[in-house]
Amino acid sequence: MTLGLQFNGNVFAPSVVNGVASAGLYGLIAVAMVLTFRVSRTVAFLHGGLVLMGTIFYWWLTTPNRFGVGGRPGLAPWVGTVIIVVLGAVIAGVYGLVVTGNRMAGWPRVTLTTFSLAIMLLIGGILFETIDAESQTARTPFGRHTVKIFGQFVTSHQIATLTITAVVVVVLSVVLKATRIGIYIRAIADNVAGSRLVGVPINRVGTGVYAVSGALSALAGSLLAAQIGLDVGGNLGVFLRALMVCILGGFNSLALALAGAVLLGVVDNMLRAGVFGALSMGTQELVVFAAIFGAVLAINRFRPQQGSEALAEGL
Amino acid sequence: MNVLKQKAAVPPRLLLVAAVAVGWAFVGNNYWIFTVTAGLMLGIAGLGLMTVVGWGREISLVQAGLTGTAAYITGYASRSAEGGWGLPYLLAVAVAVAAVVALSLLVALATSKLSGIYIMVLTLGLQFLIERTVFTSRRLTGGITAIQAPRPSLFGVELNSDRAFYLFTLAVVSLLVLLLMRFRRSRYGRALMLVGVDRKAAAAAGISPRRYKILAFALAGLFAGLAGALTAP
Repeated sequence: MTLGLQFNGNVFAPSVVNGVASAGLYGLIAVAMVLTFRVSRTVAFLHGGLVLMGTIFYWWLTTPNRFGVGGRPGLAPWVGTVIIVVLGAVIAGVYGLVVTGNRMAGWPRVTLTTFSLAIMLLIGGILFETIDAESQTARTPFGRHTVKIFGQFVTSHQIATLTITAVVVVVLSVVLKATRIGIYIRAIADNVAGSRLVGVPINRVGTGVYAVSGALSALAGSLLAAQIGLDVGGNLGVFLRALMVCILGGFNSLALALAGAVLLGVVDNMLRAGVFGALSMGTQELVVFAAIFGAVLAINRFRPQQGSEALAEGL
Repeated sequence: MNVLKQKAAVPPRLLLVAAVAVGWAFVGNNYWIFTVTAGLMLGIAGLGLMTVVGWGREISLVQAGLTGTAAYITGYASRSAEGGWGLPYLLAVAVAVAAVVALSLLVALATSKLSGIYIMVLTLGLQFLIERTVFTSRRLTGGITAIQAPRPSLFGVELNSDRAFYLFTLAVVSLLVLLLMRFRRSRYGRALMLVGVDRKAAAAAGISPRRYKILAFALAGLFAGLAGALTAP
């Protein structure tokens, strides 16, 4: 392990630029996860399934058959993106309707989380059984233009992804702060039983939030298809990293989730670019994991605790 | 009656299942005996998961990674070929279980002041980390063509055949189930369950949630280690 023994300054700035540019994907998925956590208090692994669906199905919809066989429609990338977003919203909306309904809302968190994990595996299983598309790359709706920033070529696809994520974070932050729906969502996040008592339509709000977040996850999946390609391990790896980004903000803050996405993107790209020397894939994973884990512990260390919570933690 | 003084009687249904499982060794064909053996090994890992998820109410997603790690370490330590240590099977099992329990304790200690989603996401991260480091180590795994670890011979009994190894695995599973039943009824088991149900109430009753969470992870690591150690040969 050669970690920390070298510092290659010439690739530092390009790797930071590339890291910020690639943070959009993590950020988009992280925002979706934070949103659903707010209304269900559980981590919805469903989003992992929707990311996979977005990636694989988008490729299937928009990539024409090379030899005219196989029955892929070969739609324009924009049309494919819209279909994927709508499909993601419908699947997540139905899921939200079920898990925030009277029957399941009272289930223990462990059970709901396991249920969402099962749904993710189910979606993945159906996709792998029906579409054979490993190691393919899809077309992007944003063209193949590149811009050189600090010596690093950034694609129009990366810029568009980051812009979409930033706009989504700003819009959702405004919605959460200044609209009735936002107040409902915050009320549910704080106290589900209390929200129900004062007349918050939990099931309707929950379904809507799941639909919006599902659309975001599916969109992230379709963007992933053009940026990274169809690699199941890699795609789930992006989802996992988005999940880790969320815990930086305690699954509560959209801004911290976005900041975490940028931090993760930068650290990841610095390691890949060899800023600290040539590291094996395993060592790179270890450093990224340690960086996120360290940040979580540091944030938790300074988080104020009161009363019985402090007692429980202190013993 | 004081529930703490009740004896951990084995339910008749469990005895019936055990009898059927023993009988299976003499009526099942080799393929199904092998398959059920693999199921029993997964069951041991599942029992470990139960202590963390079921009783401690923390979601750990690293159990598969720990089990796989123990399998590879046992295989590496017990084989003589491909640079292995060539240790006796029981010693190799001890090494693997110790390594996995240490890893599990590390997770527990590092997350001792965290709970819920933090532990879930961090254990998922560790699972991916193990997949990309331990499971890709050519030295441990043998690369694309997996290396078979030798079947052990314990106390003069050869476990070479699938049937003999099935009966051995079944004996280990039965022993572990009985031990867990005892543990569940013990003071420690009940304290762990109280921590899982209500950490604040447990703390108010003088039970340390932190210590019992560490205990739950240690048990999960122990079971993952044993499941992996049985998987290797």
